Amino acid sequence: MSIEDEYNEYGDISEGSLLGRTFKRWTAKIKEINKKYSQPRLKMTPLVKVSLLVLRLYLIMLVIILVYKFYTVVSFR
Amino acid sequence: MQLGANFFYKYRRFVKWLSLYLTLAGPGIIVMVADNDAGGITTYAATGAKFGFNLIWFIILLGPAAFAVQEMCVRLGAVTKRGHAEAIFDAFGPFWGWFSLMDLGFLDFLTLISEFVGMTAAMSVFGVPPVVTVIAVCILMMLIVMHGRYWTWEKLVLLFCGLNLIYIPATLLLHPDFGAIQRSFVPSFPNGLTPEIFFFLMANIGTTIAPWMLFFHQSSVVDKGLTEKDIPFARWDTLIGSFFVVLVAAFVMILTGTLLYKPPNGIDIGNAAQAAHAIIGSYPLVGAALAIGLFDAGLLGAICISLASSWAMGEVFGWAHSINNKISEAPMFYAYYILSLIVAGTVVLIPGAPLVLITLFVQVIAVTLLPAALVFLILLLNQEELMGKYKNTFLQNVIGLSIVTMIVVLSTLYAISVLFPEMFHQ
Repeated sequence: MSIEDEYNEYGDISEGSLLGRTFKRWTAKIKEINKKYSQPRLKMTPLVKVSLLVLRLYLIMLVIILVYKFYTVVSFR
Repeated sequence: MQLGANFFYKYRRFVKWLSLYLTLAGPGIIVMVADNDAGGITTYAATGAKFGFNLIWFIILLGPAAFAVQEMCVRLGAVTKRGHAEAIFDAFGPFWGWFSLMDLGFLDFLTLISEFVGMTAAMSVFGVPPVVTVIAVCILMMLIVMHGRYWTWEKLVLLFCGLNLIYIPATLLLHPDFGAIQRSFVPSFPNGLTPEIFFFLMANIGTTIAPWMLFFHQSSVVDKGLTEKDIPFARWDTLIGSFFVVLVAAFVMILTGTLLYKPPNGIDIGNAAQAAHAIIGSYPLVGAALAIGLFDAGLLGAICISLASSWAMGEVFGWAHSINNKISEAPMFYAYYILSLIVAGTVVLIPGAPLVLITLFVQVIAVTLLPAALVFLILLLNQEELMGKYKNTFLQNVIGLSIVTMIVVLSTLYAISVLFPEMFHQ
């Protein structure tokens, strides 16, 4: 086995496994947080639902404006 | 005899109240004074240079608006014992929780860069190279938090808050026209409500009420351990803080209004350091004070902004996240704090980094988070199960909703004006 092969076999695997372990740990943590807060404690009254809907629409509008700005900048260039 | 006894009793009660207040004071004053960060000072300096004293009345109106918003954060933190990020996750679920957390982390990082831009620009007035400023600030900010005591951190930061008042003696040295200042308290637009004035009004709102303030204030109330019975003291704390935020902002406007404003159209300045450079030749003390104040403003902003993110991340990820913890007890909390500082400081030192673009981008990203955070605040404050007798009254809701609507509309228009400047400049 050449040094290069040995590096690929051990170096890559150990690096990959470290990254993999870190990735898995973070994914598990995020899943745990999602599970912990999966049931919103706030009572979903019509007022709350409407407020959240308006908020979503507002954010979509902002995204459209940002995309339009990006488009005008790119097309201007 | 009876009169003397009554007076003595009232005096003793006041002294007791005052000593208790001084123990509990801190979060409100810090968040409000830090609100006058590098971006804020630049906006006020630019407003003064462009319009003289003519918009001081507007900044006075923003004080009560900032108080109303921050007072809600105090109540929410003291009652729920949770930071704003955790409260959003808990009440609205993961979608809105992650949205707020990611947005806050990104926005705070960009704002932190703009604070470093302000600090390096301020120190350049004294010939200090940016790399020295960045390293010194990082070391100073690590030392401020790393002794593991909230109390010590708070008192140190309050000292920096005191330094923010440097604009007052600096302005008084110039003997400004107090008659003109007094007349400026009456709302008016000398040349009408032009698109340019409208742009400056929106910029002033954008710098006076920022998303990080909500997260920082609520988390610091929780970290300090304030409870329901401390709410009246915390209200006074916030009220005094909002008084100082207006006072400092007004004096910065008076300073640049006195020295740089040339009627009828005034002059445009890019940042407060530019104003300090322009002033220091003819008024060395005043120019130096403006630069020191800008550095202090950037430092205060950086301290609060980096902590706002670290607290929020700690709350959600379940890390130990108190300044009362030592580094070994809360390694992730301090690692996030230090890493964000070092990365933001490094970005400023990169030759050709798009710093102006970042500063402008902060205003746009802020608008994606501010309305959401404010709407969540109002909704949370109306939950009887959560807030009990501390929930918003009808009057508080009317005031809160009016202010939130005004902030959302004007800050959105401001973001649009940053994206499409030709709309608001003649």
